[in-house]
Amino acid sequence: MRALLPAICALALGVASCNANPLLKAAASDYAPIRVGSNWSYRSPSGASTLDRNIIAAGPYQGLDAYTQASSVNGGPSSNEYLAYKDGELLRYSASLGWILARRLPLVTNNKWSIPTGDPLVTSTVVVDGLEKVTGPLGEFDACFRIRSVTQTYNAGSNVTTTVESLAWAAPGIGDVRYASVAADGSITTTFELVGYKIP
Amino acid sequence: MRRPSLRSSVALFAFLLASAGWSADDRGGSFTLSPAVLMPMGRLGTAFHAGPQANLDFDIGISPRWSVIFGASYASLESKLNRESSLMIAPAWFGFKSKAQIGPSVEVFWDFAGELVYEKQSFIHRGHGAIENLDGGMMLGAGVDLWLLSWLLLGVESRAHLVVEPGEVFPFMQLGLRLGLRG
Repeated sequence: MRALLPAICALALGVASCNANPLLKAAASDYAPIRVGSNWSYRSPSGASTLDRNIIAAGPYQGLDAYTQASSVNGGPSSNEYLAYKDGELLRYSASLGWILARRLPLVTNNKWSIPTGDPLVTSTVVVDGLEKVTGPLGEFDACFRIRSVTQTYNAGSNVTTTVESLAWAAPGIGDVRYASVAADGSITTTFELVGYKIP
Repeated sequence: MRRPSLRSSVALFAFLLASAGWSADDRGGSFTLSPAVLMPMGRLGTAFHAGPQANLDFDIGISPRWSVIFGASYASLESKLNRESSLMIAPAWFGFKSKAQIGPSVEVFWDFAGELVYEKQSFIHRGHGAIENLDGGMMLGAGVDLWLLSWLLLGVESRAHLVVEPGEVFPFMQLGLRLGLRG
């Protein structure tokens, strides 16, 4: 019996060490840690472009307790965006549409939602289509959800639908760590990678 | 002749298992159903509420002091972030139990087992996706049984489930009642 005890432990822990899909880590983590003082700095792989995002304030806005996110591209003037949590969803304020769903939380694979566009000829959908490890300038991030956004625009004149596809990877406790565009042939080009962040 | 139903076959099997440990030297043995509360601790405790858990425990006595145990349980924990999301935990274990009798009708025990834990995080609406996983872990427990009749026991048990993922251990605490057949 004493010989069996280590064998049982080894089997149980062996399963854990082979595990490439850390569900509990993902379930326990905040993939959208938006609070005053959070900031994220991104850079394109070539170093030519930068993107900075800062949560600069919190307070009531259009009926919800909201956070103000200031974004700046290439060090230029910043534009403000309003974000809020409600019923497990991260919402974004659109001047024309009001509060719209940005991300449904918690993130799980195959979670899919539509984003209203206000234009019947334009559809926008988001799907969480993977859980994987991401490597970037800051090192490796485990248990990142890959979030795919697909926007389709129908041109009635030419009877052609154009599709714009992009990807974002969200890491536990950090938020988005990489952005990429997806070409028509499916090739992925990284647009921005996380190079610095602070989560208070 | 009527064939025995699946339910009665399972009950008979359980009773035979529970009785398997019985012998003249009182090795004991039991089959118990345990309604319990499963509480996620640590980081998971900030993300999920405690939830009801159902346990099925088999105990086969191999000596007056030791039993082999195996069993399985099921629990569903509601997300604190989104009421439509839940985490299902279903461990199955195999291990050993050390026991000591106090007086004619009380038994105290502790148990130790390795376990495989199936997990699934999902939404109430199936179209909203799900994620599944299998982890390894350990279970440590202690409790006390009261032998109400020669064949019936009622007890309480507390268990810690330690579920291991690479680089991190996720603890769960379980508090529950035990109601079962005794061999």
